[in-house]
Amino acid sequence: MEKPKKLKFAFYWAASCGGCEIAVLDINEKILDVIAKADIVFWPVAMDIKYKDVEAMPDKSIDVCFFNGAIRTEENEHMAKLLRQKAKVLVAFGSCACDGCVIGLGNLWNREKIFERAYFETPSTRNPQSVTPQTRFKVAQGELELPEFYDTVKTLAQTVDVDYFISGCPPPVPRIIEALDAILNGKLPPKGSSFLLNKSVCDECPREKKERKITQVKRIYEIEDDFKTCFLDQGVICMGPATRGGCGAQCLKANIPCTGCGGPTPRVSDQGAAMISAFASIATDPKVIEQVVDPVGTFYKYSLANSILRRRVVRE
Amino acid sequence: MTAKKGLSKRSKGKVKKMEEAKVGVFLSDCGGQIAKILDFEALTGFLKTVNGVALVARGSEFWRGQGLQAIVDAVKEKKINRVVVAENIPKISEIAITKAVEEAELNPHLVEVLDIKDHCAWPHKDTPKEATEKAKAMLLAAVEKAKLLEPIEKTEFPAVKSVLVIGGGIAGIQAAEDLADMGFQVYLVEKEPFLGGLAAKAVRFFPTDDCAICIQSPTSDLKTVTQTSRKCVYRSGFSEIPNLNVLTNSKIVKVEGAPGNFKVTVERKPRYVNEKKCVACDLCTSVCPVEVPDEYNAKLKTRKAIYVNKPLVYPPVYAIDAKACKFHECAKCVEVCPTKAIELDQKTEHLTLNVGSVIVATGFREYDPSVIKEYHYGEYPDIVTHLELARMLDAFGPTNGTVVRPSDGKPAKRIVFVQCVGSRDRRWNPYCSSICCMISLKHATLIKSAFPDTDVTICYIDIRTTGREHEYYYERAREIGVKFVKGRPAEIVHDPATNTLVVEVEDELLRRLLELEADLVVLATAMVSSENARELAEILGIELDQDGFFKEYNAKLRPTETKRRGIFLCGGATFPKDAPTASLHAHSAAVKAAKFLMNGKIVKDLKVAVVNEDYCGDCEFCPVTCPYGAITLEPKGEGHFVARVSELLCEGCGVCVGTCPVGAIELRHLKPSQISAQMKALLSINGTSKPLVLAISCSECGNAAIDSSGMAMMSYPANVRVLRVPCTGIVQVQHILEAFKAGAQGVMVVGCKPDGCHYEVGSQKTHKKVELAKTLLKAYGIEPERLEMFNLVYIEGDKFAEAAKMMTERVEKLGSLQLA
Ligand code: SF4
Ligand code: SF4
Ligand code: SF4
Ligand code: SF4
Repeated sequence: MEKPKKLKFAFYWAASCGGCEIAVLDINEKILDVIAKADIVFWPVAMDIKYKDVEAMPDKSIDVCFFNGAIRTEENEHMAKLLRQKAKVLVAFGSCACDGCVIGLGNLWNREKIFERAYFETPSTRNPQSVTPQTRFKVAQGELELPEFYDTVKTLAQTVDVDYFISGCPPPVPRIIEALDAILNGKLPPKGSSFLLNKSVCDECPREKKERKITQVKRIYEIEDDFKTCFLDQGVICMGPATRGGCGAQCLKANIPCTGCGGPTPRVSDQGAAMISAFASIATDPKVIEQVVDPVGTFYKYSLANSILRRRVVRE
Repeated sequence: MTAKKGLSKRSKGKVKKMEEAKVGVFLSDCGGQIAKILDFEALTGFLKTVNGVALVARGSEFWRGQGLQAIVDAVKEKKINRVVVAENIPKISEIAITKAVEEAELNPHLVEVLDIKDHCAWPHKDTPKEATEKAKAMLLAAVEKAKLLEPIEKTEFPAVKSVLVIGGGIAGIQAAEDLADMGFQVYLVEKEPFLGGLAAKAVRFFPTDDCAICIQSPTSDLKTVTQTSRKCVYRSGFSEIPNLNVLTNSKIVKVEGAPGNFKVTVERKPRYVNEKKCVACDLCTSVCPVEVPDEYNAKLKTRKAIYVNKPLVYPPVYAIDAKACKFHECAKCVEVCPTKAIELDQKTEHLTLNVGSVIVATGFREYDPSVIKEYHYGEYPDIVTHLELARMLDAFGPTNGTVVRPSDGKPAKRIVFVQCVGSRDRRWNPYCSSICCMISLKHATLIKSAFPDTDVTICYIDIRTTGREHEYYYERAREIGVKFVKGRPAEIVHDPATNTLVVEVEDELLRRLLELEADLVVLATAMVSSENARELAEILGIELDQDGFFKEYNAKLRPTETKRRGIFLCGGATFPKDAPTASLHAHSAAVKAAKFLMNGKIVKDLKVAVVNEDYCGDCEFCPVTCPYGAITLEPKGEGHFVARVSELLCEGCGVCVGTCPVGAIELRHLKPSQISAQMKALLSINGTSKPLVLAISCSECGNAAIDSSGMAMMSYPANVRVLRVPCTGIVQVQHILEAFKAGAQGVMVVGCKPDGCHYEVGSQKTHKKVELAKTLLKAYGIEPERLEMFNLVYIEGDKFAEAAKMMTERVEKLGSLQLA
């Protein structure tokens, strides 16, 4: 009998922190199954393969591409498009690719403001020649071309057509394993599905829900956590109710409130707004509302780029 | 509290899976009134280009006559399966149209009615071109919504024709009697061994001065006036109505089930005397060796451990005071009882009653004035309360109708009444107990008439005689020599040498300090809620007000209803009342309870919220925000719960929808897709030179204000577009952001007043959402002033027009909003 043909996998990172790459390794011995059934044809973090090698691959010759990272630069966009062209199945892997994640918070500014801050204002910066990244730069050997840094961070799905999603910062290991199993055994869910769960983090959280009335917003250091009662019932904003579950509420189990990395739940278009609506509905007093000082940082830490408005309107 | 599976019956009949939407649009020019403003040719032409529109008809009215027939024909003959009607007065026209459509065998929820007169033509009559463009957007929105409408069926819930009345005072007795007369099975539950409540102790009532125990007799068939009205409780015959059960010594311990079908557990303490055997011969009391102070008679005398509290009571059956009786150690009464009625081994029983509704008639009680140190009640025996005085004034009472000093039993010749004791005093009860002025006038008059040489003085802050004939009562008291001193006494002191009380009071009118000597001081104490009110409110799941009385649903519109369907209130349970008012209240509650159950079933359109259990993450927010307690959490798999909506209790407001952080709960009658389709349509055509402003308005006060501004032809610019939702509580911050995304330059949320929200909490909740959304907009670099909430009522049409103008000018000034 003919040996079944091995699948071809690719892993790529765009604008990301690298944590998703580690998460791939966190699957431990499962990686052996992967290697047994699939060849990895492209993985910049681990293998020395150039972009031109990918360009040379026939279209749709990669079976599955796991793409982590947001689309911050021209290079990110180029690679997203290239890999879309080469891969049969494109998986948005991790919060950056799915929802923009912390990279997406860059959408509170534009390129100019970010450069100003990063290359001039930060206390640790010395930049006497006022150098900022340019798309073209002349050196002795000729003209260099650098990818453009965009004003707005985009998610992968805002850039190319995406088949599957697996959010999380990084994605929870059990869900990665499930996703790999599904792929390796050819049991793929309908296009557009997520490998996380349909329910929110609250559903998996062991903490006890009580009155559900918020009378005061507190920072975590301001409470004496009893390790049992739901954070919201103790006044600490927890994003669990509005966040896609599947993580097994691991932060909650470590006594840290959910900050929302699973992104919006399936029927919601805007994670932050959904949580704001819920939060305001159970706040007992308008004064509680005033205690929220940083709505974006609190409710949109991972999903600003994938929200309804996507970015801040920056005026000169 | 969900309806049990299988108990509710669903009428599937007219609900079939809908085929492709064929929308018929019926455009009324309102009898030609708006034909000169709106270009109907253009509207018809436009509608014909809209996808899904299969028929466009124009007429002068579509909610009656030929117009309505045209709709029916279109449904029947042209197979139109979605009906959009542009009419005025949409609420009323909607009723007629949906009824006709239902008769034509189309589900009535596949109809969308909009008001292009009051929401478009009238307010924009000066800019007819712009009005026509806005009308297009409104019609498009209605068509887009109509295409997404789905049939909604009706459900029937059982309604047991049986009522529980809690409290056997004057209100409870009358409500019970009314309902029993109407054929309902009635249970009247009283915690004491005897009926009558506070009223029975009061001897006489003002202003009629008739007996407290006088009530109406049953009237199920036509009888003469003397047969039916003015009968003493014990001979009225109310207790002989076969479908009326009186349960004394009983209290409610548990209520389960749903409105129309409650299961109530009643705990019945033993009386130790068999009600069916006792002939009230009184032999038992003569042998009973135990004597205890008679609390019913203000401890002015003693009674035996086996007793009746006064001769004319219901039930006319003796009772044993379990706290005093020595039971088998003694058992003397058992021996003498000629009918063997005494059963010392009776046990507490638990009965389960199946009732459709409950009436709370638990009344009120006197406040205990001993907490008011300066009046020394409980310390000096000659200071009494009104109820204690009333017992003395009772010819059957402990003093046979004479007024004496409890300290020595000598006649009281100088009596001072002190008003507002514990009332109108922030330290105790801030409210006016409302009946104590009249009680003092009644008692003063009774005393003065019976013993003219008694000196009677009333110390008051204000004499409040607001009822019919009450002021004459006051005048009469003055005429027969009752003295009045305006002033709240500072202290009551006791002179042990003369055994005299001295009331120290400043006469505010004459500006002098008085020391009034008295043999007896009567405190007109506050009237407060019944002792077990809080416990009972919890069992029943209803609310108390700030003063501890049972809270009605709405003082004006639903004075005897509560927020929980099927539970009603009457009498002093809601506030101290005089007998005529308590009576009135009781009859009203009886009618409400009867109306609720009379059909033996409750039929309801399922315009309710539903939870998609696959998405509900058990955050447990919606059960708390639902103003009607319609949501419970049900176990679903090991350690997991999901929200479930009671179809019976849900009012369809959408507050839960506006709360749910995962979109797991939605209204059957306004789905998220329908909201966004309408929003997009309303903002897809501008046609004015001004920036688009979206007003999301509730269907109640908000929409009424918009209607009234149109009806009064107050003008505002046509760039303002209205999206109607049941209650602003359904609004989510997502909607606001989507509106900006879809091209709105400003967003208004128009709802009821925060305290006057038709769905209780919606307006307040959304106010908070709007405030937080403003903070968010700022973070998005969008001026928060582009978003504003307005709380209006019907008569504030002018305020809506102003607000619409103001928002338009405001966003014009801010300049155009460029979103990425
Ligand atoms: S702690 Fe957070 S995740 Fe857990 S129940 Fe509370 S809100 Fe939900
Ligand atoms: S009714 Fe008269 S005595 Fe009673 S609280 Fe009101 S003002 Fe005072
Ligand atoms: S729609 Fe209103 S009444 Fe119904 S469950 Fe939701 S909040 Fe409660
Ligand atoms: S608010 Fe939504 S997620 Fe939370 S319990 Fe209710 S339906 Fe479930």
